[in-house]
Amino acid sequence: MNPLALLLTLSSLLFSLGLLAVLTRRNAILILVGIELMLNAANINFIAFWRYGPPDPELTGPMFVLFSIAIAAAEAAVGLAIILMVFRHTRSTDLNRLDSLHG
Amino acid sequence: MQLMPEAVLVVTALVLLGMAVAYESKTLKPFPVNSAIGIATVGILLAIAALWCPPLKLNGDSSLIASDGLARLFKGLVLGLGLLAICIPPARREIPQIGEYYALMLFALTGLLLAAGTNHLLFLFVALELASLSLYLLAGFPRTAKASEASLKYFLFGGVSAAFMLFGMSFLYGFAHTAKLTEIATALAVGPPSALAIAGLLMVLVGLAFKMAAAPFHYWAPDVYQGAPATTVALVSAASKAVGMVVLVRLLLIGFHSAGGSASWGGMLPGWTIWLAILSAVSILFGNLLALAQTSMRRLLAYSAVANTGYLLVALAANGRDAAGSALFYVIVYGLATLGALAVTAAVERDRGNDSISSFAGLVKRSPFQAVSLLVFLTSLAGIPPLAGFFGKFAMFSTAMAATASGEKSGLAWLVGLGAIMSAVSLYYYLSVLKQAYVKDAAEDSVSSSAPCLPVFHALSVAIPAVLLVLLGLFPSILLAPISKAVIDSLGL
Repeated sequence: MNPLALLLTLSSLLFSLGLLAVLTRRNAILILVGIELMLNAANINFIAFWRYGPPDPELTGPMFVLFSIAIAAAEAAVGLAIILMVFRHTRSTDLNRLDSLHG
Repeated sequence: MQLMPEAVLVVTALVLLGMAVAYESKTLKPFPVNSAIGIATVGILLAIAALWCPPLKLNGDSSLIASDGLARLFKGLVLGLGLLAICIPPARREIPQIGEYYALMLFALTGLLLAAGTNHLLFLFVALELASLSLYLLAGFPRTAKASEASLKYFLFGGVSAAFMLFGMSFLYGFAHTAKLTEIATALAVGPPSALAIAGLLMVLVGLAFKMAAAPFHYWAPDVYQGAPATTVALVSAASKAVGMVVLVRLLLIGFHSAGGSASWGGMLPGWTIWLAILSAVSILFGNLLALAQTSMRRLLAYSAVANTGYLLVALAANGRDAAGSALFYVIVYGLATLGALAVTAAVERDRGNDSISSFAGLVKRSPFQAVSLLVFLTSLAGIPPLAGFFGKFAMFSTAMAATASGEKSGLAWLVGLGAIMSAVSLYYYLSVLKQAYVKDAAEDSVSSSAPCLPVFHALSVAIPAVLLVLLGLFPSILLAPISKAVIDSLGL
């Protein structure tokens, strides 16, 4: 197996794990962790495609990773702020307790 | 200067933030809403004026910051929709931090403008995230359980969609070794698209479908529409949907035009048009059928948003220039109608305390102005001539019938037929709101016989969309002609 295929397998596994966490967990913070895993799986892809692809003088892959790390940090900050706000109302981070909106 | 409007918006947001902090720390009173709206309005008007700055000639290619016709036209239109959204004032004491709220509105608009004007995947991702992160917060500003729940749901769904989009973009980068849409198109022209490109495009489309609230990725929409402040909902439903359409048109018609395949009945060829056709059919069915059962006006508008995304995707699935132009026309018309309907809903909420459809009862007696405007908005959404919504839907459906990539005419008839039948169904729920407003009398115990006079800003955000919808219905070419010119300029198909 060449290194690119290995890395892509790793990133697909990470992405699936993150998606599994998002779909099965009921705790908002653990879902946030799942989303971060999915974003990091994409970062591995960018670096792998850049490293094992044809030479890329514009460094698009690493650029993508730099920006996505910064955005993931901003997203975590916004997410935790929102979770804290919800916690003030419900005293929990459990999504099953969120039922004030319905048709 | 290509980025002048965005720069003006950011500077205005910072000035607004600074003034609010200074005022609040000096007087210990909350910043007045009207001054915040005034400053934000001035900023947006300056940004619209800045659109006329002559673009700088850049060395090399300009895919990062496109200054083509589509970018300029839609930056102007999105700024206009944003201005109308900002004019809907929040309910009394709904939002404690006024300065921060309007500054974030301007940041969200900045992100939307940047996203409308780029042909580069990385820039697109960053711009969309700037807009989305601001919108998640804007949904949760009121200190109520409902608003924070709406904000959390919006954030979680949006976060997953962003992860999907980034993962898909990494596959597209792996396929073409570039993030520029024009170069991706060249890579696709060489041979049939590889599995990598198909998987990448599919995941990016899933991400965008979340943002556009296409079924089955629409679960956040009803809750956000119901729980978030009306101003935020107006921005999400009008401006952010218009930008979503521009992004889809750029991505699919500039980057992936040759990989479209065909979604015509019986003559299907593999490609993204089939996925769009399925997404569109599901959205049209789900949106319209679920809207029938709603008792809350805001949730009804959310499901109507899902259905209208479906209509828009019908035109995109035709994979042609004319159809794309008519979809871009309809998204503006739809934005005006839904924004106006939300402004009327906000006024009714202010008067009655809730947004249930029964609280619209007797609206024509309480406020003829609001009732007539609501008539214009809802009949335009339902697509009744001579309003702009009729012309927009008609143009979309007829161009989708006329042009399919495989050359055979009326291949998309199955999808257009579904759209036409379901928009007849949609008449039922739009008219049931109008029945409340015009035929039913308000309940006996409701005291006020006439609604309180609206603030000037709020009245403008009701009146301007109504006038524009009538005007665009009678003379659609004043918007359609510039849009088709911009589409030819940008896509050059």
